[in-house]
Parts: sequence; C-alpha cells; structure tokens
Amino acid sequence: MATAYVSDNYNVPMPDFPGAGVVLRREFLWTVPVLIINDTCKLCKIPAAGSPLLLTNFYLDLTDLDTSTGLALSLGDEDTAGRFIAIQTAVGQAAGKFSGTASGTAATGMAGGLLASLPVQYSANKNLILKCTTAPTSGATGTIIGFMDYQYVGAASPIALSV
Amino acid sequence: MATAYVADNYSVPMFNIARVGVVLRREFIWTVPALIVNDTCKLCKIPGLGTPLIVSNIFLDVTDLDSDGATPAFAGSLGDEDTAGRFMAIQTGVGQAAGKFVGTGSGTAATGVQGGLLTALPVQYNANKNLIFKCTTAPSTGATGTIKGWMDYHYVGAASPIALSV
Repeated sequence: MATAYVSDNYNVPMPDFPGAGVVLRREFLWTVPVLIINDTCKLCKIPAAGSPLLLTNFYLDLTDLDTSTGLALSLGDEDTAGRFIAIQTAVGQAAGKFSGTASGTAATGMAGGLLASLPVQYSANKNLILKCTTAPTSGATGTIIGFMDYQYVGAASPIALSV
Repeated sequence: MATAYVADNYSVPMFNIARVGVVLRREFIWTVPALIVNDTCKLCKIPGLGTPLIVSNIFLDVTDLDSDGATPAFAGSLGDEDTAGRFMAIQTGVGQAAGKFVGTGSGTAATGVQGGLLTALPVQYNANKNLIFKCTTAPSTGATGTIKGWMDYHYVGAASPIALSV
C-alpha cells in the first residue's frame, strides 16, 4: 500500500519574515526508501494561511531511484499532483534535477518546471509534494535534496493562478 | 502605432528593505494584447535612484504570442529605457512558442528557454529605470497571452564594483 512520507526535516518550522518581497529559501532532504506506486512525500510546507505568499522557484537534486527503468515522478501539491512538474520519467530513472525556472530535457538530466506554473500565489496552507506515479522496476534507496523559494506579498498579488 | 504598455501590477510599489544584500523578488504579470512592432511593456520599476541596487536575476514565463504555426515572425527583447536588448537580445524562440526567459540560464530555442546575455547580470542601477519587454518584429498572427515572472534585486549601500552601471 502506498505511503505518505515526509522529508527528514519536514517538522522544522518554515523560515518567516515580517516584510514583503524578501526571498525565503527552505532547504529539505528526504532519505528515499524503495518507492511503490502512489507513494508521496511532503518535502516542505507552503505556509500561506493568513499571510498570502508567492512560490517563485524550486530545485531538487535526485539520486538514481530505479536501477532499471519504469519509475515516473511528478511534483505538485495536495490539489494538483503535477502542478509544477508533470509526470516524467527521465529524472529518477537516473540521477538528475528538477528546476522550476529551467526548461530542460532528458538529455540534459534535468526536468524543467511546467510553463505557466511559476510564480504561483498561495492563500491556504499546502505542501510541496513529490509523487511516485509509476513504480520503479528495480527500486533503489536514495536521497532527494533541494530547496523552495517563497516570499510574503502583503496585499494579494494579481498573479493569476491562486491556490 | 506602437503602444507603451505597463504590467497589470506595475503601479504596486516595489519592495523595499533597509538592509544591504537582502534579495527582493518582485513578481509581475502582464495580460498581453496582440502585439505590433515596437510595442513595449514596463514590467516593473528598477528603483535605483538614491539607493543604488543590483539587478541579479530575471525570470519570465511567456505564452505563445504568435499563433502562426508554420511561419511565425514574432521577435522580442528585454532590457530597459537605455538599451532595449540589455538582458536579452532580439530573439524569436520564446514568443513564437510558449517558453521562458531565465537571466541566469543559458538555453536555446530548442529547449524552450532563452538565457540572459553574457555579462548582462548582475548590473548596478543608480537611476530609476524600468524592466521593459519589447516587440521588435510583429507576430505573423498576433495572439493574446500572458507574461508573468519576477525580477531579483538588492540594495548595496556603498557602490559595488560591478562594472556596468546605469
């Protein structure tokens, strides 16, 4: 049965700042077990309730989580599993990176963020969630490290997509 | 006749902080009309007057602004009042199809990302300017769309040795 994991440092409070527009960067690390389909991991919180924020960038560095092929991953939140990275097979089947502002290809070992996915405004508490959408053929333990950039905005921004 | 547009949230004050080196990231969104040649849009202010700042990164996510799939013609650049192509020279990849501008990237049209010019960032501003997107060649079949993204900047107190100063 699929498991809902959390990152190793998920319970560490998210960085906070009383001013608007200051970029806050939260790092995370997840010691990844052998994944099965529909496993998820909350990498970090998106703490927007009461103080709307913009999520502006993210970066993940993944080890090889499938010594064969088969694994597929997506990155998003509770509402939309593939909000930031659609289901993709390149990164995870081999070591690679996710970058929100890049637009990479399998050949470069990087999966770029979806067009129109950043920046995004949150007004409710959510989580940044990695999901295993197809199980690895030969699952391997590994590590995911990375960070998420966000900032408080004071008044709501006109940035269209709002969560 | 070309129009000088401003972003939907252009009039919202820019972020400020009484500290040096703290990265401020200003988001912007522009609901783009069908463009004609020499249309410009002030995406956000660069408030360098009296408090020199460094612009250190830029990110734009651009929808398809030229729906002519066979022979699109759109070309655009990104810069300021002084130099229209300061950050991004005239390019056709992003805008003829959806794609991204990344100031610190080094992409090509083939990957759907256009990287910033070499030696363009970081840049120091001592005067008030604007981050300006320009249509340098009209689209073959102009399409409405959206440009959203952000600009990173920080105050430096004393002038920085970063060479290019505006």
